[in-house]
Amino acid sequence: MPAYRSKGTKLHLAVVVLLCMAVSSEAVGMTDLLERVSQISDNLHSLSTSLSNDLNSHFHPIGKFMMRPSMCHTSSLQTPNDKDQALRVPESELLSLVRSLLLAWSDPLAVLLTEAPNLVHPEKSLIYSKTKQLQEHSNTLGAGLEHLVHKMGHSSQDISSVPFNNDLGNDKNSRLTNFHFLLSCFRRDSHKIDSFLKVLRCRAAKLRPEMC
Amino acid sequence: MATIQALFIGFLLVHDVAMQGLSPTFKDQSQTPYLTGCVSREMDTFYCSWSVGTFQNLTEPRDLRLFYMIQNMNSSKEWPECPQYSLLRENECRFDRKHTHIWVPYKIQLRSRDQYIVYDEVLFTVENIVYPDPPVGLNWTFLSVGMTKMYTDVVVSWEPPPSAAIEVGVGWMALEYETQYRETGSATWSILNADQETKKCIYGLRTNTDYEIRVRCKMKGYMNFSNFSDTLMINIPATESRVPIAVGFVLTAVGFAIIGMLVLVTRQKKLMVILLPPIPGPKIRGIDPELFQKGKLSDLTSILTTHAVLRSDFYNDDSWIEFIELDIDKPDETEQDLETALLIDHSASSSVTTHLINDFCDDDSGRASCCEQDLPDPDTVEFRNLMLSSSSVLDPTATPQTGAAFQDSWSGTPDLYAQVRQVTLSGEVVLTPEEQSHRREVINKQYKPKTTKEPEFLMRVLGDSDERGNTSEPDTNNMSTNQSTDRSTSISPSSDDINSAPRQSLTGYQEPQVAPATAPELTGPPSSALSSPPEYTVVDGTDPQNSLLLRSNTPMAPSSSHMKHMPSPEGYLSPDLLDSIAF
Repeated sequence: MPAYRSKGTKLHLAVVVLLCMAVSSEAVGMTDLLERVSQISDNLHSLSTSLSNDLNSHFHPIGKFMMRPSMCHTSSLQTPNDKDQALRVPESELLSLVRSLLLAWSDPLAVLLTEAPNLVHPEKSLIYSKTKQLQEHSNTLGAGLEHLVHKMGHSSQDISSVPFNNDLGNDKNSRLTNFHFLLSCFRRDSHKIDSFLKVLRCRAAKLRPEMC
Repeated sequence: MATIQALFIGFLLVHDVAMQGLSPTFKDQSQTPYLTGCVSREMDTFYCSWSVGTFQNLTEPRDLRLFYMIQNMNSSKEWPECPQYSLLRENECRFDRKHTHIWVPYKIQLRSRDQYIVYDEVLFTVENIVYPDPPVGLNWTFLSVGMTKMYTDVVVSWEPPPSAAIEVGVGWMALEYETQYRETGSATWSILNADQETKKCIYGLRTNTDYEIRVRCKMKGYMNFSNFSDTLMINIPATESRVPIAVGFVLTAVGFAIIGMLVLVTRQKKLMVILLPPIPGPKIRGIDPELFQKGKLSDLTSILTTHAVLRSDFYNDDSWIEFIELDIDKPDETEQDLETALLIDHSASSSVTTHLINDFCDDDSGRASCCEQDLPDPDTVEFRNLMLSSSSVLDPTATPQTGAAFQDSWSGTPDLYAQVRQVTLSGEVVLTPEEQSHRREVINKQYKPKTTKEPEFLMRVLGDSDERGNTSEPDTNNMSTNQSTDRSTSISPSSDDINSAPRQSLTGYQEPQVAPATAPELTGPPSSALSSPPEYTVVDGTDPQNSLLLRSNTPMAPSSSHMKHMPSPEGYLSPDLLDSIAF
């Protein structure tokens, strides 16, 4: 009887040790992943800002456009709107929100990319190249987030889809206006994504406080 | 009545709209109250402030009221009023974190007390109105200084603004910092790239100069910079004066200039030779490249043939055996006697030869061929032949020795000497035939006893004047120590005749070659010399004029006349004198 018990405890101990190692290694890997993902979202946000600036530089103020963020198609997504809320939301929910946001922009970015060469804007080539970069970064970020979610073990199905109306307008000016509006919406959402991911990163980096 | 009311309402509405639309024009004459701006410091709260304008009658605190509307929320007609009017400052409304929503559009309206007049309205989202506070705690540390102590690098560090410290720490707000610096008194600021680190390295600041440094920050991805931080003044003193360095550089430059001028000016060969002397050519003894170009063929060939080094290369292998070989091959020539003379007198016993061979192998002659397998065999054969012939021709007084007593016999037997009649161009020594039963002296091969390491062969010509010390000394030493009284007497100058024959012995690899080729060919001893005992002396070497240098000996009675002809105590003999020596 004692022999069996010792064998069982030994096995149990080994399993526990292995699990601990796996978890710790997983934790370390996750922190690095979060760091990487946060960097990509940082780049994405900077890119969208510079693109908006480029658009603004020669934007014809045909009726000074008043931004109505409520008209953005992603407004229906309920995301935390202040710091306290963001700090209280659990990690998995925050991640799924981020992924949903990102997914909601895959179609509109494609539309923007097809529209960019036809813009009535003096810097449309620059805008086109930056939009293309935007799409690439967005795809990279999506892949990284999916990997992160798998590593964390959460279900990857909690993504809500957002409908998008890809009608940009009929005439050139309205198309330009809508292009500009879409980009401003994207800029807002990229800032959301960046902030959420940075909050997550700081939350996870308890071992390395210098990251925040 | 209704129409009047409608008209009045319509007028009010028009007035309202007109007020809205025309409010800018009114500002020229009399300023209506207006919103000066809404600002957030940390993306968690914000405040809006307004100005009264030129209206003087609106000094009551609640004459102007602020209302806001968040467009996402249910847009009721009733706009909520400012959550909290600022206590410390007037004309300011603070929105705390409960009422602050990011990414949500706000509409702010400045209304009159009775809310009938909307003086001003703004629309924004909070992240677009974020203006952080400036960073604090500017400090600098010394990083490095250049070798000339003229330029230095520093690291400037600071803290994020205290109002946003929590947000930055949590990750809610990402700040970017921009550093600017300038030399005090300069008009323009140098702007460094913004990044998220709270420190910045500034390179290339001049020492002993006042600099001003300031930092400002903004939220990453947005345009709104903060105010500048407090300016930091730095001045890094240089530890040593710069003057010597500059002087050093100047002097070096001047030196180079002078050298360059000298080189340019002194194209003449004379000065060029003085400044840049020609590199001496390689020192090949005796070989002058000029001779190759301009010399005569006879000089060239004489040099080539007499040169010790060349000779050694040519004769390096089995030189003395070659002599013997040649003699064997031409038995008709009179040189046959040479061999016999050259050979040691001994019996034909094989033990002798083996001893010979052994001794040959023992010495330091430096000839590897000595101990090779194939070599001794022909040599032994030749040796035997030679010895046999020699023993037959040589002095029958020579007693055959057994091997055992071989060593002793060397010291015991009387030496056989032969006069050198002639030294051929190829280096062979032609000896006179032994016609006298009187003490004949052959040129022996001296074998030292086994205790000593350095056997000497008689077949050595001291061809190099440099080596006379090396080679001749052991020669005489051996002669003096190893020889029997007979030998010593035979060698002692008192009894010996002076012989201009060079004593040939081979010792070691520094063997100069047979020099006698340079020496004028020795004529045969005059017949008169035959009657008198020959006189011998040791040839030490050849001098630069290719004359034989003989060792001075103690004076000998019969040869006193000859001795007078002897030159200086160094013993060099000119070719002229050689002829005059009677044998």
